[in-house]
Amino acid sequence: MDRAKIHTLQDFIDIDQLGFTYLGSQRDALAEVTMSVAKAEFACILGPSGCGKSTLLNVLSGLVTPSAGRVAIDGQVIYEGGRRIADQMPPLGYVFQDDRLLPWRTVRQNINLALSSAGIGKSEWNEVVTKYLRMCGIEAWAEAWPGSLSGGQRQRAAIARALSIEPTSLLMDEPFSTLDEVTARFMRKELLDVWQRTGQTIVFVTHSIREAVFLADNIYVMTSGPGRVAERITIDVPRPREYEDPHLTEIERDIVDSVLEYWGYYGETGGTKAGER
Amino acid sequence: MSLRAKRALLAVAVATGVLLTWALLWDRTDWLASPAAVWEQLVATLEEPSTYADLLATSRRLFFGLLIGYGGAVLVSLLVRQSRWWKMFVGPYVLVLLATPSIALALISLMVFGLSDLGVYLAVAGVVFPLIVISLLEGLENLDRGLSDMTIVYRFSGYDRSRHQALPEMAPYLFAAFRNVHALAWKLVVTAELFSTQDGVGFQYKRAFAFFETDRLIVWSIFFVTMVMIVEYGLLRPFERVVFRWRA
Repeated sequence: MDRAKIHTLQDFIDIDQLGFTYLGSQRDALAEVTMSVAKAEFACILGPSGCGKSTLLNVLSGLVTPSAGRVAIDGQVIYEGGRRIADQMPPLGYVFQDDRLLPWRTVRQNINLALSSAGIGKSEWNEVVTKYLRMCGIEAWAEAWPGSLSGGQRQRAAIARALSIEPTSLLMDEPFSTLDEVTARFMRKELLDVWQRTGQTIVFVTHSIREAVFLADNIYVMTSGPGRVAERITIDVPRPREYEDPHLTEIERDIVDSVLEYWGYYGETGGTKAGER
Repeated sequence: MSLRAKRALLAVAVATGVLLTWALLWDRTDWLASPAAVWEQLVATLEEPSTYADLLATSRRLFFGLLIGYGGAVLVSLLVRQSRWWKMFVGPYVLVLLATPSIALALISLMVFGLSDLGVYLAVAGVVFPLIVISLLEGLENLDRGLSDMTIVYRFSGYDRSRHQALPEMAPYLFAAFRNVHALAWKLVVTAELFSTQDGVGFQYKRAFAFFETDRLIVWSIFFVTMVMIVEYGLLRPFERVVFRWRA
């Protein structure tokens, strides 16, 4: 478990002293966030509700500009000193907690729009859409309206959309948290499968320790608000991993105490840690 | 019996009731024509070719008036959404138009633009415009923030954002606004025609009123209502079904 920030040549997403304050608010949402993600890494950001992890993704995706700090993606500086430097954000796929498909367009049309906006030529659309729908297992629902699909199917469509633009990195904000546990487990395996095939860098936000341990190469544990990265935990378990693997349970148990401490559960007010009696 | 059948039966029952009352009471008044007389007049009017020219003229005026008023309102609403300056600029004009009685707008428009079709178009447009702007602006306030964020992250062009997100999301407001002004616009066209034109339903009303021909008044009212119904059931509802077919 290392706390030091090591700049390596492989840093794909480099975040240095990032801060964010909402307009008109006294409290910072994020403060001095420092972390870096390597290329093709599956990074999980683990934090409690309200720690600013969604804000972090919003910064990476270009939706909001941070108040302080430096962010570079793929060598290109995006933000510095509270200002946006880059004219163009690098291509990013974003999967939200709710699918955010346009309900009045079919699955195929939704993806076509993303492709068109990413500057991909119309002649390629059919092929690309079919490829990624097939990869996500929903090829049969290409012409369906989102409203007629289940939550899991819609999220798969949203993932297919994110992948189809073949982005440098994929941002995912608790994408399975609204699904039932069985569907969510299935989707986690599918996601890992897809990730192995596409080799993209994934930044996956979650509040579930178990989910993070199962999915991640590295877990970046955030404190509760104002959020900062307290620790980076490397999960050395070889892939493919099994969700019920007792080794994962062991790791989860090992880290749960420190994670909960970061999240403010074992303060001066008391509470007993799992290892103590 | 299905709900649809029940509704149809009720409509027929009400219509029959009205007809019966009319048939029984018409000669107790000195102004109401008999159903029979009205029927005769209806048939006679339908056989006159000028009737269709009149109906077409009124429809044309309605169409262009609504096109200008509604189209202008959509454009202005989208502009107002883009920038605060537009909001400040447009605000007072909308309020003034809204506050002016429609008949006054009609007369002013006819005086300014001459007793011509353009005057009628702009009279309708002027009345309809502020009502629609207000409905649409309210709709635009309530756009789903999540979908907007999605379009930003996926780098939709401004045109795509309007066409694929804002406009479809606004569809319920667009239809509701249209229904609000539709009937009003018809009435306004006829009123403007009363003052200015040599053809159209309004002109026929003027004639019937001048000669105190209540049977003609009733016949033209029947035509008028029929036209409104045709637009509602023959055009608007089918269009609405297509637009909202994505709703499960």
